[in-house]
Amino acid sequence: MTAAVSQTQSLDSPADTAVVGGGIMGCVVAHRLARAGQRVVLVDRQGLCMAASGVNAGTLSVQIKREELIPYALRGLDLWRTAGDWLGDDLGFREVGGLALAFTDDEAETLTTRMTARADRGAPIEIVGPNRARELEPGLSAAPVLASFCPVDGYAGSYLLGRAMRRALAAAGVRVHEHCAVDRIVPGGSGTDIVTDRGTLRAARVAICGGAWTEALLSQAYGVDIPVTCRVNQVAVTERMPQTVRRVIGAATGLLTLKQAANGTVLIGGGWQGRGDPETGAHDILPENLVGNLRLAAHAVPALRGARVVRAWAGLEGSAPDGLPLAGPVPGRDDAYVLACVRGGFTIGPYIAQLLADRILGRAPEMPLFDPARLVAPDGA
Amino acid sequence: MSGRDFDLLVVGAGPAGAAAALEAAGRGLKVGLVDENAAAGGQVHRAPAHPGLNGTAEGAALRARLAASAVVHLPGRSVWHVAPGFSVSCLSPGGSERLSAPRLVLATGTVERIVPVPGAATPGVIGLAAATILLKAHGTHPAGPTVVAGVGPLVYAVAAGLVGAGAAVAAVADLAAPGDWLRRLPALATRPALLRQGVGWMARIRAARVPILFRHTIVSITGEDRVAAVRLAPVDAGWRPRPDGHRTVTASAVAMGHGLIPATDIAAALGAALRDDADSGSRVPVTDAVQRSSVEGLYLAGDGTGLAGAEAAAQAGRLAGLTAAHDAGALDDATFHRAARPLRRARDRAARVGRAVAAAMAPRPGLLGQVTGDTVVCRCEDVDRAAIEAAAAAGARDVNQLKSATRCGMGPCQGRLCGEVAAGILAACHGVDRGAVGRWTVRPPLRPVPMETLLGDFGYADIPKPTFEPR
Amino acid sequence: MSADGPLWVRAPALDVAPRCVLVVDGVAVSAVAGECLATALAASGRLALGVSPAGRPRGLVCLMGTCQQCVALVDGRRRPTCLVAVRDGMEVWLTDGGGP
Repeated sequence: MTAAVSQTQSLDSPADTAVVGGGIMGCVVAHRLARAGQRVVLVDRQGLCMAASGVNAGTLSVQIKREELIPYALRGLDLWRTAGDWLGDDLGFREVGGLALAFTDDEAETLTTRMTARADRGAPIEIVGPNRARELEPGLSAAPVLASFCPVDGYAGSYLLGRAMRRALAAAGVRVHEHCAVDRIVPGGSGTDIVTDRGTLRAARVAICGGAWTEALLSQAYGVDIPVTCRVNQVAVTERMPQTVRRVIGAATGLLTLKQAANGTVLIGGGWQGRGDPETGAHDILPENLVGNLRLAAHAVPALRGARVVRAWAGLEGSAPDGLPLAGPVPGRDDAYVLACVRGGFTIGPYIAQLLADRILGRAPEMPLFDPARLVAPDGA
Repeated sequence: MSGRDFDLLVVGAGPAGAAAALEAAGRGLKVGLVDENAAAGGQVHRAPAHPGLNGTAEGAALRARLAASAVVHLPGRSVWHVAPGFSVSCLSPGGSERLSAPRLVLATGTVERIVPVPGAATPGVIGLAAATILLKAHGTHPAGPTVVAGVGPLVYAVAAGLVGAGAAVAAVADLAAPGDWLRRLPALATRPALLRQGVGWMARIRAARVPILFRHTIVSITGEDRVAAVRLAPVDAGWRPRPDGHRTVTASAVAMGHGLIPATDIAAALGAALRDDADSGSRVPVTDAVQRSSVEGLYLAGDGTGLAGAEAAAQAGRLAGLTAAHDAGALDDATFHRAARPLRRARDRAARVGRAVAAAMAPRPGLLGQVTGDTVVCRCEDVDRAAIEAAAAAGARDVNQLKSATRCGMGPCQGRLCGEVAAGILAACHGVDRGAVGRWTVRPPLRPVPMETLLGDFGYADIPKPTFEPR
Repeated sequence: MSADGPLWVRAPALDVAPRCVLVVDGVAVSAVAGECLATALAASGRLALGVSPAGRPRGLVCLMGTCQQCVALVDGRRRPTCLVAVRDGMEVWLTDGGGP
């Protein structure tokens, strides 16, 4: 331990596991560990679920997930169906079914190929013609040439997640430190010190669930360099409007998610990029990308032309070079784990988090994790 | 979106913005002046809708100078996004436009604080500023008896305006006591014209035998889809309504307002440093002696930087235009300092009066006492005080948590009407200062944007298909 | 709405002002050319312009485009009526404010 650390006051009593990052995955890891009897502490530089977990568009879609992740998405969906039980709040979860739309023949071909592969992995996806698509969703325009329908797609109110997690973690006995920035992580022989701006936390092991901030955390703490790209996803929401669309609408290009919440507001996303910087945390939308996203939405559902957009925002999300999750031990260590870069993490995150918690508890995970070591150059760590 | 380039963009064509634009254009800069209204003048010098109505002489002069200048006046445009550097996205009925300039002056003025009571959301209850615009610019006013209530000069301006128009005023309720105004007399006396105006309003109201109730507030308004009656109560020195001494007056309209809040959305979104401002009970952008903000190329002027009044705003605006012109290389240091000195003096002299008025209107801690549990605070989403208190009890500690928990501030106005009241209630729940419950995250669009207008005509091929990642 | 006399009135100076005619909820309404729509609606006795999510009537508050309480469907678009100048033949619907 360095002198600087020993001079720092203790923020909390020692824990079995310290979770760094209070997004959806960090929260579920902490929750499951605490439920299994561990002493758990969780720290986040902001409030719980204030970054990607709380500002995403709330899409819970199986069919827009990558082929490799379909089995995980289906299990994730099961967790959302039972969120009222384990989380104490289902965040308005609704399984309304979803359509992914192809607007050109090329897109139709891509859609067929991708959806067939995803159906092979167990996703209940059906390719439907434009007329059937409009039967399933009368709000659609005449533009789609082909669509895929997945009856288990749905959505939940992501903005309600932080409040629900705060309650659930408190009930499980997790000691949560919000608005507490981690300065550095110092691994040692008898445990790890997590030095924050409010004092030091000590834990036998650490789970890094740092979203877009994961790369810096891994590099500082363990000298492990895994490139994590920061994506700045934009979302927009309209004012309340009469019922316009009943399903979750997506696109073969992946550039659209759209659904109308029970209160009448329509959420529009699709991974259009804003500008942002994980270092400063500053982020903003790019107007031209908002216009592109909204045009695509109105192209799919023409009645949206009459809507007014009241709010648009961006959220920072981490992405690994191969687009697959980082979920497993930090390469070369038995006292540190990482869980990040789960694209579609709102759907899949809770389930992969449970898998990682099981791994930390020494149990065999029900499905394979995604070993971060695959991304470390052989001569690196 | 079409694009246009300028040396300087000015947002807001009130006294500050118009002066900034004129000064910078006079120094040779290519200036674009963006404003939401059809004609320049801001709220204080709003252009009358018809020649038969008398606007202010200052307003007419300002519009004439703009028309004769090289300033590119861009009225009827709502700014919905500003990106650093600066790129201003605005919307007019004709479509969306992108304007850009390396320098930006924000002169966005204020919004009125309206602290609600039960029934305050009933149609026919309007702000004092709105009543002023309707009277002066539109020659239109309530036909039936009106209660005029709140704090500040607008209370008397509206009541006198109604009386002058031959309309009945049921009562004037002023949170301030006569002593609160008398204490500001020394400062006000330096601007005799303003003082004369105030005395004139008061005389007109008295002559019409309108009851003026000092240290009083409205505690409830009854009526279904229009106002029927208004209940008034005395307040203590901290403006908390007293439990007894209430009276009910019959009225069919209410004009109420509780001071002004600087509109700081754009400056905050651009990351400008803010400071606490006691006069407005809010936070305002920091400016240096010559109107620069903490952000390179961003200048601020007018009541959006702290309440100082129209005259100070005009001087500050001129100074902001001058500084922007200097920073753009249009004039040398010596010329700049020579020209800036008298403007700074004039600004500061006028601001002393404006600040004295603002200080008399500064919100006091008891003011939120009139917001009872069943009072609607967020009109867009029907969130009442009890719901805010319940969210606070359930753990919401900052305004953005409050927003998630209650939807307060999530409707079309995005909290621009109710945000400061909701924040004050949240702070009171936790027994902390307003500052301790955080700032509302400013999210674009700065005004709701109709998709029809924003999107224009397009085909599928016109939509870019960016590849953001391997899929 | 104006069964018991007008709710709002205009200054005599406007008696000679040029007029235009709007169609509000299917009914012809006379307005002063150049004024904002919110004013024309108030002068015609229309104070309740929309409804809140709970179904309560809402009317104009700020007249500066901030409060969004005076929004109506104007020529097919939802706009704050305080920022819209009246125009001959303008079609206005006040009953479109509700949710689903």
